[in-house]
Amino acid sequence: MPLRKDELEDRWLYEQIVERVPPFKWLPPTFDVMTQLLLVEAGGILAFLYFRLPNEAIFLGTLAILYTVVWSAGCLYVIPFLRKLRDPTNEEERRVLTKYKHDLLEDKMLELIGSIACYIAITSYLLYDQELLHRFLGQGYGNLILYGLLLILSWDIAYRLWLSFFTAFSSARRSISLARAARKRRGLKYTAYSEVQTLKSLDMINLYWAASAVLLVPIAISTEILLYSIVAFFLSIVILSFVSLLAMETIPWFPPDVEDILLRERFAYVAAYNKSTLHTTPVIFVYDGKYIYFAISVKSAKYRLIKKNNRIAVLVDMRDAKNAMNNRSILMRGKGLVLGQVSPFGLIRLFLYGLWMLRVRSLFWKKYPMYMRYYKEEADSIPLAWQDKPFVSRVLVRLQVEKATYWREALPTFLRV
Amino acid sequence: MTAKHCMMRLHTGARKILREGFFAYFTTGNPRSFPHITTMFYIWDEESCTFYVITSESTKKVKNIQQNPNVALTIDERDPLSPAGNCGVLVRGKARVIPIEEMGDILMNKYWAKYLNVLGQGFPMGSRLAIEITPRVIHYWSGIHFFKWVDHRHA
Repeated sequence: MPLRKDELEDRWLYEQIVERVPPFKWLPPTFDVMTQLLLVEAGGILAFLYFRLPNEAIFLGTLAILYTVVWSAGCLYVIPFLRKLRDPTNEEERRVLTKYKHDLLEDKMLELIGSIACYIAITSYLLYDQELLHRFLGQGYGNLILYGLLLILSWDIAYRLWLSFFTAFSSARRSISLARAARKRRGLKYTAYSEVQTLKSLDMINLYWAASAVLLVPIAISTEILLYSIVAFFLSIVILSFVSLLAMETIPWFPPDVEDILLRERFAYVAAYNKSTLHTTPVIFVYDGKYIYFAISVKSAKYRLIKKNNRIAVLVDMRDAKNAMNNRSILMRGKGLVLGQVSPFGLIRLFLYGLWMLRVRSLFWKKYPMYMRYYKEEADSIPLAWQDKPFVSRVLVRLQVEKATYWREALPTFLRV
Repeated sequence: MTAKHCMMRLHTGARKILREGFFAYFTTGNPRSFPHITTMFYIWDEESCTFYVITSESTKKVKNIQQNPNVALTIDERDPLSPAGNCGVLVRGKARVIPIEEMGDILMNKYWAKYLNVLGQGFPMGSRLAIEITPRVIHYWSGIHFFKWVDHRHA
């Protein structure tokens, strides 16, 4: 089915080609990349045989084609997620994401001008370095058809290099603006954290694109300018991605009203169940801006239940015994991840989350100094189950929220997660 | 009789919490989903050793009870300074959704006497339902001490 005009407007040129030009438009997206590889590679082999190009040419040409194909695979995978991003409920954050999507998907001028600039740089260099061209084309040097093919391949590479850089740059700018906007949130306005995580995953594709440029290194290795350009391209994307990631890490996962409860309240109620056994008890907890953590004893019923069924609920509330309308609470339901247990899985998690666990421990000391001191000072007189001995008697549980309901004035609000 | 047995065997500290507690954390569970906790007002009928909470028909807890009558009710006293000062009661049992009239005048009066100041005179009760919780197991903790009462007829 042909795409509507508004659908075409938010598509990259590469996507439009894949969706409109035969044979790509007849194939499902998963086959497009493979077809692209086979077609272009077949053209390259024919040129190699017909013009009797040097063996080096088929190797380097294949690497260049592979680069375009690897990049395209990432593009077709990632762009649909970008389009499906839901708008934040915070107006300023919504503006940031709208601009980000506009710059990346709709602003054809940015896409074209950057690609053309990159293309001019590559072709100028090829014109300047005739020796490289001669080595690459061998007997075909001076043949206009081969020059044409080379120009097409150069465009394919230039277009992808530019979009990789531009995407990384836009991500870093978006993340910094989003982090700034998040600091001005009010009430229940925020960006759902599933969207924050999607953005972070999309940013990882920038690194994938940077890494795919390694395929171009054998082509560039014989000339310093090309090699330094590839290295600069790679480093700039890595730095921009790192900046983006750091900025995204500062964005809280919950709106200010909920954060207020999570940061101020000292007790949470944890419910776990398995078959006919339901169990709810108060725990002390910390919130690190993203996850809720609580510590439980390995002898407790909670631990046994969570090990059997990790679907748990955590309620944190602000009570007002004088006016029911003042009560506020947040019910978070999701999966509990046990950290610090002595088991093969536990050791893997210790490797993955070890630094986080240390940070969480320091958060507990900061929020509950009296409790932690009690556990330390009374270690000899309290049962082992109560002793603050990670791995031996206590484990941490991290809640990965899947559903969240906020109550204020006895009215529930379902929060997007 | 179970109720008397419950009263006799229940720790005095647990009885005190159940009598004086203001908020209860009521948990229901749907086998296909996550547990569901809400903060509720409750009354404890010491005669029958049953608990009552009042809710609306369309709530998640009513739907959950229709699928799974097993529930938990937690009432506790918090000590922000020392874990040794924390105490509480966890009631695990079966719940039954009943018309509010079935609670009877005595229990309704008890409910109003306890929560009138918070709810106010005009609080609408007409469309509400009561949830009756019959304990099977009652846990009581006070600092590092734990006690358990089990209704052996259902254990």
